[in-house]
Amino acid sequence: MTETTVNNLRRGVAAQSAPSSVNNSGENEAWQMEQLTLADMVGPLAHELHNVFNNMVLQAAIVGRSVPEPFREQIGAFRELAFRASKMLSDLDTYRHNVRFPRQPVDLADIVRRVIEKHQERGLAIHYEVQGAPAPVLGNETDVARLTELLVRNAHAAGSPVAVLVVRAEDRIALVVQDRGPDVESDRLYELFQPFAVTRRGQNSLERAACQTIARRLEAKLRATPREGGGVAVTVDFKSATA
Amino acid sequence: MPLVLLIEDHESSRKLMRDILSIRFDVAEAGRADEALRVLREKVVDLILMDMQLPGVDGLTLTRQLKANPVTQAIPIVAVSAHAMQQNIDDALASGCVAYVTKPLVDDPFVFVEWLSQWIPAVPRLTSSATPSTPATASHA
Repeated sequence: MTETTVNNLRRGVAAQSAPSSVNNSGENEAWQMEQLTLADMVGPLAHELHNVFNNMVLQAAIVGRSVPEPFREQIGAFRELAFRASKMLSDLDTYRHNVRFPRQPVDLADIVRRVIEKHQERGLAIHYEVQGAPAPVLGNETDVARLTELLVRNAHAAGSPVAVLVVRAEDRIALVVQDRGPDVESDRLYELFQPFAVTRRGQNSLERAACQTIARRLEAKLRATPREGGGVAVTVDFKSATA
Repeated sequence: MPLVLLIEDHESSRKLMRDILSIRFDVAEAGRADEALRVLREKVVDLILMDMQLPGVDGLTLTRQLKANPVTQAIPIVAVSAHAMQQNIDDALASGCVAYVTKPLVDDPFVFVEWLSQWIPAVPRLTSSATPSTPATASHA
């Protein structure tokens, strides 16, 4: 886990005492957004843990065939523990999965603009461009805003200048976030959305993995490609609300 | 021995599952959709064990692609996933998977391997309907 990841998790834990002390609605909204993002990090973490538990079960089965009889009961108990831990995790993940916002037509360009304005208020330079006529996408403001925020935040962490593009064509509505950070080999680009893969210094791998979680929930497609001239472009293809 | 294509992105899970599968099957491996497609171009596969949560093209999309392709559509696909939600199971079965298995495995993994063999077609794929005796309506969870 990267230092940035750990710091963000600590920040999240510390923020749990925030509601009663936060009066400013802007700060409260930001706190809620961070909490939702932490919840979306549970998905990729749970996936990793399930694999760990599954490995324990498989390993126990292999070992169980070769150990003397007295140890087989212990191996069985070990398997049972791994299975029960995984079941608890599944229940938690199912609960989290079922807490979702209803999808409706939203204005992607407007949501992205508001997210970028907040970054610009903090002095970060972002080039923002909208192509094509207005067209709603299927989603909800909270998820689309958080997805944009996480992508822009991590693009800055990778390397500026950052350029954000909303493409509204007949057959697709996409958000493209481009950075000038270090290049990533084409066959390793998929690792950008893996929870524990460190592909670029400064980026938060759990936040990137949470982007995948949010995109799936929105039924959007997320992919990374090399950016012309250096860096990475992350594209989110949204589902049109009018299709 | 029949050839099983094991598609699993988690390297250590893939290795352990390969060790267990290999007592009953020949095993080809892939960690991603493009690797799986390459194996399918090069080998005659009898059964696919498909992790549904793959990086890039996910298991559900890959299953739909394989079922839409006349060359691969008859290969039985058993879905494997950590997600046990009904919607995930319904989606996998609707896409053409013959069964849905949740991780971690509930059964003894060596019993699971025997269970898998029921999905191996008895006659050559391209001339067979390749329908196993047991209807694929329930998950193996």
